[in-house]
Amino acid sequence: MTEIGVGERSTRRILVVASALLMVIVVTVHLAFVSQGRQENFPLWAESISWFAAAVTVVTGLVAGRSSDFTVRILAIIAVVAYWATLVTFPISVPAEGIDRIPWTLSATGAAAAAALVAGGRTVAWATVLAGFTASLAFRSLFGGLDLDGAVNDFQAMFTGAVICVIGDHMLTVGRGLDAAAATTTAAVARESAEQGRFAARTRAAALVHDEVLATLTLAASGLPVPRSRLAAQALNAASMVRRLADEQAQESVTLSVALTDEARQYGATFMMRGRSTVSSTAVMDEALIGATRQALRNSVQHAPNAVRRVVLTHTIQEIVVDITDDGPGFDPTTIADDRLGIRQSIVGRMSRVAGGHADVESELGRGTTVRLRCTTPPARELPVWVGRGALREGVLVIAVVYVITQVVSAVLASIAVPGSWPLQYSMLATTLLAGEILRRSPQRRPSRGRTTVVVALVCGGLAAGVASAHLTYGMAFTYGGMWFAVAFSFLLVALALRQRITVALVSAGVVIVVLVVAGTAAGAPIGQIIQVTARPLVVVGSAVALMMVVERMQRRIIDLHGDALASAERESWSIAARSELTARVAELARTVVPLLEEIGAGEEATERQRREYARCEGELRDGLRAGVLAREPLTSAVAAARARGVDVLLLDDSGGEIDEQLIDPILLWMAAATSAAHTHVVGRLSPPGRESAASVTVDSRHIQFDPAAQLTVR
Amino acid sequence: MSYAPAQVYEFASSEAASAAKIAVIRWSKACGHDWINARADDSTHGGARMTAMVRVAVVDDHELVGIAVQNMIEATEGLVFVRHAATVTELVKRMHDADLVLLDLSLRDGTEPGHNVHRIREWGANVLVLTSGEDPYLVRNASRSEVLGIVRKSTPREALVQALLTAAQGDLVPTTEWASALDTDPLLAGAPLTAREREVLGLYASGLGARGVAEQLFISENTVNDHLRRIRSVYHQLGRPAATKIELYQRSIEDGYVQAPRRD
Repeated sequence: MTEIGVGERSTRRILVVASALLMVIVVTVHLAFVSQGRQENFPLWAESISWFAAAVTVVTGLVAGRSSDFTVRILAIIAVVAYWATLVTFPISVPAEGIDRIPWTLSATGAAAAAALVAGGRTVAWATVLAGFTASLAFRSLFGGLDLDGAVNDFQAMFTGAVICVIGDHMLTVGRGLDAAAATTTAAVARESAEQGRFAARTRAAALVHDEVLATLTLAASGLPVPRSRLAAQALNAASMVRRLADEQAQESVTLSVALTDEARQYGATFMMRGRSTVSSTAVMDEALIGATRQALRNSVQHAPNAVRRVVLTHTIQEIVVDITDDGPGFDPTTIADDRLGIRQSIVGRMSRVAGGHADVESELGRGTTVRLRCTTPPARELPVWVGRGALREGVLVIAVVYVITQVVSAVLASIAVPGSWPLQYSMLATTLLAGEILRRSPQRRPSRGRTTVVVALVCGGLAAGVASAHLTYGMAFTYGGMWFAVAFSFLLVALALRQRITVALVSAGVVIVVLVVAGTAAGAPIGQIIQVTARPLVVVGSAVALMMVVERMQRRIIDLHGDALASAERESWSIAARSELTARVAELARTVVPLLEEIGAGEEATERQRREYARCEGELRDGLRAGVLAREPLTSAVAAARARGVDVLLLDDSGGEIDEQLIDPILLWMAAATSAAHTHVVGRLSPPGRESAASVTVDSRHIQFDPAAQLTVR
Repeated sequence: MSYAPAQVYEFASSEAASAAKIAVIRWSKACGHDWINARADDSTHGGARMTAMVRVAVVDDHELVGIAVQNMIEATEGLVFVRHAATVTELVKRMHDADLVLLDLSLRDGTEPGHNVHRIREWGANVLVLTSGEDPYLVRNASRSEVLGIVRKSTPREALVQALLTAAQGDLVPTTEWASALDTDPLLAGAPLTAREREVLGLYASGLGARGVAEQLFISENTVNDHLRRIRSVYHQLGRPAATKIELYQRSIEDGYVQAPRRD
């Protein structure tokens, strides 16, 4: 069973509670029958199945709030199966003398439909409604009881079931949609937050670099006349700040990039990170990546001790990729013996044991070796949102059609059952259809006050006129079938409730009940009869109002819950991303600048060579902020050498990370060559995406654009 | 001064502030400094005004930087050092006494460069921003405000002095860092710049100066400077203040620091 979201879970619970309430009402009506002494002699086992179905339905509703999704669903399945069992076993339980009425549980179509939505979804629910309806009509035809009351009851029950199927299904879709929306938003906010975290860390590290280190190095390099003792004090202060921060960071939990930085440093490799760091990698993945990286570096050191090694961590939305490269002698991968445990087991094997993990080893004699480790990150849960809109429209259309059919059939049956009453039946039918059409034509979901008034007037006035006419003009008995239009009018009030006219619907329902009770009493109908006639209007309007109110509350609660989830996801990813970024930076800073700061802190007059060394270090720190992929060998060595000669070098990676991977190495080589020839000033730049050339370098005011065909264009 | 009419309105105070040293008194009054205050002003810095010096103040939370810049300014003809303040609040608390302020890009008090520039402009001085590292976010933030330029502190000394002198004239100081920050700003992609203006910006961002760009494009240096002024003006239009968190978020999406939530 897949994990379901908060929205869907709440909707399922509401549906089983609604199912239980409907069942309670059906049982009440049944007991009213029993009180009239109208009871069939069904065998005990058949009665047991019916009562079992009712009991399970009610229990499911009662325990829903405190049970797991799994329990609720299992109980709903049992309730639906029990309902179907009453349908299927009915023919063999019929007493030899035939029956007057079919068993009461068959009227519980609405309850069964609600439970079926939870148990098996829309299809099962519709199948249950249609099966209940078909079985009722068939059993009445076969075993007796096919009278006006029975037929009208079956049609109205079928319509109630249809309404529940459509509304319930819509509610489930809304719940799922909200969950999906929240999941999408959570993922988006986490990504956003991770990015902000990286930015904040960069800003913090930059502030640190700026405030203490860069300022000190710039001053020390510039040779501007500042008091030497003050400069020394500032340098020592800067060094202690960097060290303190590095110590604090070392206490923090290890994240992937930090761990890889550490591994790389231990084996004398350079480390670089590309792409956005996300929080989607799992601990198992991280562990495998770190372990495999360590093994790859170990192999590299063993077989190519003098090679230049590089570790590159790349985050994409779907993948985490770690490339471990060296420019050593390489080997022929087809000749690796199975006993070469290092590669077979520790790298390839380790990666393949992780879900979504993969390792490739590429090597060629004389061309170096690349080990590429890949982990597919679990995709963010992104479900289609609001898929239910179209389904709801179709559902409402189905309801409208079923409504028209059931009411027309009821009117026809009533006019046949009570000969000569057709003017009453058809005028009632016309009134309900007119009111329904008026409501349907409302331009807004919530009908205007005028439109509502007209509908209410038609419903209450029509009903009052109808019952008066039935009693006074036609002398009809006060029965469920004869009063079919009472339910027809009540369904219009349901529509009002669903269209956010809840109070009006409730008050009108009260009027309908009063009219029916007065009419029943005036007609001298027994109390059980009155209950039977008033039950369905009460149930349908009452449950519609309750559903609307609960759904609104549920949605508010879901929004709150999602808000909490968002806030925590945000905090979490922020801190993780910020920490890993900061730790990586601070470790780098401590390694490179602290020795120089201590030298300045000694307070000696700097030599020209030292000044250039400070300038070089200052330039490298700046490169950390802006040079991006340009901060790699062989360019870094060329730039360091140029800075040591007193050349002002500025490296800018403006590619936004969208540079063709294949171009980077040629560009680095080309730029390094140009930089080596510089006398005073170099600006090396990767162009923003979509420019004529991927890179340019300006050496001593001479501008050169990079030509991928290695044909240098001097403009 | 050769501002195009479109910029006259925008930089009216800037022009007055810096144009001619003679205009200083007139402009001080226009900025709300009455003659009584001007007298007090005179008692401290009257000499500077008499000799048509441009008064320069430094806002940097490193005292040593202040000392270094002071030494450099005092060694430069035409400039006079006024004072050093650790924050913009400290600077503007006192009466207006500087024509040009050298502002540190990232101050430790957490203030935003754009906001700082705005306050100094209101106080009545031109601003040249000094940076240590070139965090493009902060550079863009400052560039969208009324700065004359953004200059790296580690720029070789002669170039730094030249930048100071240019800014003292009230002229723009376009630098590679400034051009690069603008050239990569996604917000500028939709801005009404001509192809030629974009070309000028791209070349500037690649490290060429006005002369180099002029040679590359076979146009005059003046034309290059006109282009730069217009680019700066257009960019400044983009520098709307972000009043709410939502606006800041939108701004950071525009700036490319935060990825916009996707609907797929």
